[in-house]
Amino acid sequence: MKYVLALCGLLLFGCSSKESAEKPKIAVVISTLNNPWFVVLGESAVKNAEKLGYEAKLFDSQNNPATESDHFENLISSGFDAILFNPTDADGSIANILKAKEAGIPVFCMDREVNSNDAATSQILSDNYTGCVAIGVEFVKQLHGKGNYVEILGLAGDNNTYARSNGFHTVVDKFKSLKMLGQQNGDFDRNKAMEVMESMMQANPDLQAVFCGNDAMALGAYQAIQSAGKSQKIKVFGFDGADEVVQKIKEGKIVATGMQYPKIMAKTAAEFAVEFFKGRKDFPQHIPVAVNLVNSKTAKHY
Amino acid sequence: MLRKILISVIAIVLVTQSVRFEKLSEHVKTEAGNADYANFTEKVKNIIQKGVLENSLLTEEFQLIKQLNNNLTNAKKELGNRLGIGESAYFLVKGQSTIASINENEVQLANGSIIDTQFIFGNEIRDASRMVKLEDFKSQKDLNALTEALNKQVREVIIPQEIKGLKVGDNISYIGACEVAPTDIPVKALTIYPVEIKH
Repeated sequence: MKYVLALCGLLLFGCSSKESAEKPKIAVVISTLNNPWFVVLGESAVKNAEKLGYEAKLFDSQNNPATESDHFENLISSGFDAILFNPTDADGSIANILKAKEAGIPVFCMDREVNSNDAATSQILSDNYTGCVAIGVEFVKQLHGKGNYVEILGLAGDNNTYARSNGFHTVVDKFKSLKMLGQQNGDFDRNKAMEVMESMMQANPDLQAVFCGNDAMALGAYQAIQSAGKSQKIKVFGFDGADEVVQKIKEGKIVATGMQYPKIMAKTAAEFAVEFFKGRKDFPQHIPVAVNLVNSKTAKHY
Repeated sequence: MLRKILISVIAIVLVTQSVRFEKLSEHVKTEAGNADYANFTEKVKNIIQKGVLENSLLTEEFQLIKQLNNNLTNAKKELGNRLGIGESAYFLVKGQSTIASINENEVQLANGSIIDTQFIFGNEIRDASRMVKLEDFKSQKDLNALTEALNKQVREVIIPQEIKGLKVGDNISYIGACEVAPTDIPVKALTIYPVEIKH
């Protein structure tokens, strides 16, 4: 009997120590891995979570809220302990966060904001508005406060699209001799921005500048401008800090961009998750991450 | 005939009611341009008065430059501030100098520093004042609206009055905020976003 009890005790002890030795799991759910910028964000989040001693798994929502919802269902039932999250939709993703919250799983948003102040545990976001204020200042200086321009926005309904545009217009709209002749969505897509720029150049032959809501679109716009033989006449401004754009700034082909830091956002989100596990429950709802202006003077630093 | 007309009218009404056209530019203007500045009047006043003009962290320009170059990390801790995450920090500064040149954007000082009188749009004054906390704002939009209300008051009300009549050769004293990043070290002169300029 003694031996049987000892064996049971050993089994019980063995089981509990296995459980306690099991690494907590962190899910990294990214809006799309079809864009290099988000790949950096997702992979950095996984890397940082692993570096901090946690098992981490990357999920691709493929820019599809339904896929994102499936991921949340699966990872809640699979027993993940925290979610580092890049949402597909500022409104549509709230329900997913709330499901995780109900299950006691903290959600830390990265880069993309959701329109709720109490769903996510914290939202670590690029300071898009201030970054585009700086771009707006550079834009006015480069154009000496006058000229015709167009704007290529990102995705309709995306908070970053409007935060960037708002920051830019906070400055540029104060200068009445700067006239915006067109504003269209390029969906953050290089090819679409190229087509949009072609049509806007046809409609407005006398343009001096274009402001694009991300660098992929800036590259598309530049391609259209170059094909039209207007690269000396139309100044291009982007946002993101993509390597290709920084290189073009060094070559004098693109004027400026805003450098974002996806690795810092991912690292902060992973660290917050660990702090949560250790007992911290009070996080600021929004943490802005600086965006630095990259122009011909500062490009050497990047 | 009457039936056809009625059906057409109903169809037009249904279509115009169900499809709402909104220009993107209008959406943007609503978010950017119509922030409720009235709510921020008192906060803006406090930031300018207590957060900047009466703040014990206000440092003489030569002293601030010395501290920044000696040890930027310590200077950030003792005198600087930044809301959120970033390498640069914002500092309060006061000084006196002679005007070397003036243009529509800025006042160039004989000591090498520049007072930017036109592009007061950033976070310099807000963050350097240490009067604003992230926890007090539930959305980025509200925080940005406060920043713009503060900058607007300084840029469009205070500074235009104070720079009226200034000319090259005038001795002035000034109070404001500046941003310093590690890549700016060693600092020789500052770009100052003013809150007060006295002749």
